[in-house]
Amino acid sequence: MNAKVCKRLLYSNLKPAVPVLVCRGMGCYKFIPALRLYYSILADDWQMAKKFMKLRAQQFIHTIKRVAPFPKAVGKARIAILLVLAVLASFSAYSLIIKIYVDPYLEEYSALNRARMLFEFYSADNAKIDSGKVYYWGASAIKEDVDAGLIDSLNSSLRHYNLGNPASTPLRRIAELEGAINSKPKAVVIGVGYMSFSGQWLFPYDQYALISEYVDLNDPALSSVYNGTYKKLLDMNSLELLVYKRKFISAAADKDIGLLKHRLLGAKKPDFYKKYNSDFKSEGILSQYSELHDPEFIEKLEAKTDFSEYNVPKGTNAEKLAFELMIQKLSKNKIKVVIVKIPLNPNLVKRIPAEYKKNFNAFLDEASRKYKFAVFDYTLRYNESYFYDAHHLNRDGKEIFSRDLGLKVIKTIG
Amino acid sequence: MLFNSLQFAILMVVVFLSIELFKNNALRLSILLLSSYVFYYTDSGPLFVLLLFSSLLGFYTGKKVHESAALGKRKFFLILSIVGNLGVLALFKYTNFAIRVANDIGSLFGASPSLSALSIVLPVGLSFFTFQTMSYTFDIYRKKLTPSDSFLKYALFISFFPQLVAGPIVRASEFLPQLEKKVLMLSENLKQGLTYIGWGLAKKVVFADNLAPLVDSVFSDPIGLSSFHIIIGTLAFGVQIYCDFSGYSDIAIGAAGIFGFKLPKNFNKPYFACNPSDFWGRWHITLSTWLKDYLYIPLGGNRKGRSRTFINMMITMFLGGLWHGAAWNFVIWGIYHGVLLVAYKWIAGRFSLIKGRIASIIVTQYFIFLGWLMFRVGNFEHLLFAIRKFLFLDFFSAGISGIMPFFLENKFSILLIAVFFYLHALSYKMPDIIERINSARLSYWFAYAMLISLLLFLFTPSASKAFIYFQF
Repeated sequence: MNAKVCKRLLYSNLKPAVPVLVCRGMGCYKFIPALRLYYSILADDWQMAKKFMKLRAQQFIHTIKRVAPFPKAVGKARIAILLVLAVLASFSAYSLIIKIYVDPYLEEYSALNRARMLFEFYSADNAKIDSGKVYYWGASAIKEDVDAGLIDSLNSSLRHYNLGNPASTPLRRIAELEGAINSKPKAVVIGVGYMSFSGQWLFPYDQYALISEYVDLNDPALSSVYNGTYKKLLDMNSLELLVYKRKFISAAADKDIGLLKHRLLGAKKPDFYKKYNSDFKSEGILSQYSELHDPEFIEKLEAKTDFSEYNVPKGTNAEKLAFELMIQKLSKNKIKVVIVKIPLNPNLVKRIPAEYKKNFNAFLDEASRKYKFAVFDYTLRYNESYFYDAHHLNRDGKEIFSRDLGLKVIKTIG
Repeated sequence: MLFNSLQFAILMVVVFLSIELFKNNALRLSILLLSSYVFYYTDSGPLFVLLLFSSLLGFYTGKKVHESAALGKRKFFLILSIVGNLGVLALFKYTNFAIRVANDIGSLFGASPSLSALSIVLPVGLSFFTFQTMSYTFDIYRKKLTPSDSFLKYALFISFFPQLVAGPIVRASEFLPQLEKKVLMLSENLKQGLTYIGWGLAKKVVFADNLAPLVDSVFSDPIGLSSFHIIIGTLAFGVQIYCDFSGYSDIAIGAAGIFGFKLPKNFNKPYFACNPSDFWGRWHITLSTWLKDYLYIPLGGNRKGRSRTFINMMITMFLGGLWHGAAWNFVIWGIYHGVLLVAYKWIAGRFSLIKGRIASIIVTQYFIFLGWLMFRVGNFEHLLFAIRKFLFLDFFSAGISGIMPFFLENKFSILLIAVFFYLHALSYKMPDIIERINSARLSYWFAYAMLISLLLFLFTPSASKAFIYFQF
């Protein structure tokens, strides 16, 4: 009854003080702020109105809280929206972590970025206008063993680029074929070893993922050689790649621990790969090969019983198919192809089963006849004094091999 | 369909929206049943008929047991249900194990192995839904339950997708009454359900899945490893299996909770158990109470003297071990726990061995973790080697040079183990932490949801593993 009277008073034409006093007298205190607000608006006193509006809002929230205690006042839609917002916010935080923590690690401290840098190389403007380029492709044996700067100095009009990439095989390399062809090299020298065609070498999944942004899988030739796993990795969109990159968080943390140990305990500094990844001349020698020979090499080789990574099958496999496709495409685009059987430590070669070697040589002989490319065999050209380990030459070996190979390549290409 | 997959999230959203759309309760229940069948079909394909068979058999025999006045007839239908369900279980889960055992016995007597294994695929969740069906008929037989008159409700009880493939094992007396009420999806249910799902996902993805590589690397071939490797591997497996299974249970409880259903708790801080009996009151609670109510007590429980009690315990734990899988290591694990229970009962009655709660927890957990070795290592030679290393410590046989590479290679996993035990200890002081999060202000709940999703984004391994208990 009292409330009804007060409500009526609210809309009466009485002077403001009267309804307020009546309400107070009747004990209906909750109407007082509303009354004051109403009258202050009527009186055009906006400062006062603002004050009462604030009071009214507080009263409203209080009423809501009293009538509906907190959890019950929450709607399903509100929960769902909050969940979506939480997921979006955490994904933003995650992206930020990847951007400021993982990407710099990949760029500076991971050799994986070499694969990306090759695409950058192909698309660079200076690469496109240079018409006398020779590319050297292969795995770490090419990357570490071929001094492109030295070959450049052998009085030739050609410019040589070492595009070797650790653990690279024809199947991995073929992904960058289109980019390489578009950058118009004069010739490509491809270094191959037993591991290139075995199909059992360590598979650089992460490199495939990181180059996914550059690779176009609509190319039917590419699709034909890659199976589901490769395709999935190469076909990642930027969102998938962002999610994939979480697997590098622990490696990035390892790098930071390494740096901390280096600063505090004087331990070996983690390898810095930024320069290595964008170095396409490969002059000098890497710090890890600074000694002439790996002191543990013979011991490790003698303990080795499994040579399956050198097992080149007699029949065909994805690596062989990728290799043939690569040769075909390069030749079709009038890019000269030279194949180099990379130098291997004789101590290793004598342990590899004869059948593997026979299959390797037979495959290359047949391919060279079919596609008419030159093959330079360096497998057993140098004795073990030129090797740092099984596949990598030391300082002396690198110099002599680069000179030998450079002269032969220049002579062949002309 | 894994709980930590996009498909499951999509299924949950579709079911949720469908139920919101239709107000009719029978329709809502039908949607839940249909989605449960879709969920099961995606994993089991045509073996989905086994679920239908078990449901129909349980429904029919339950009705018959209730309707029959004569004891003989009641018994007949009870046995029909048990034989039907155990028959399916035996055929699909234990046939090849029986063949292996027969061949082994044959070779002991000089016969060459003549029986070849059958190509049988074990349907997921078989052990769980057959046990639920049997408990339903049992309860009706014991006149503790009246059968459901609606096949829809009964079928939903058997196949409700959140708990279908790995429990918790739900009793009809707990679940059927919930189906009698209207399916209500309240906002507080949604919030609570999501809180549980997030908690379970974090356990599974952050802890269990990230510890799996360490466990696999240690136990794939433990020969030659030191005690340090074995103990770290065992601790990692203890954490992995707890986080995997209790994570699954939390997700199941949360998913069911969203639709307004309450599932029983399956874990209660098992690594705080201070004796073997206490452990089984905290670990896989719904299975241990099932075994107690439908096996141990019908066998006579502790009512027939001391030695009979011990025998009943051993039988129960032996079958409990066998329930987990058709392999010798599960049998050994079950018997081992039977021995622990008997030894505890026998010793506790005579001596007061350990004073102080912390000491008794440590001693109990030492034996529990020793048991995990038996659970994890299937190869007998490997198992003996691992047990020897666990019991007779030789931390330094590998030397620091042998331990350090292992430690450095697995430092993240070892850190996870430490974080787990810290959180586990914290949860002892803060019971019902999920309820606390759930009843916290919405801004805190938002922060919780954000933290969990950030953890999932950061720590989901590239290869997600199936839940361990899916294989049982």
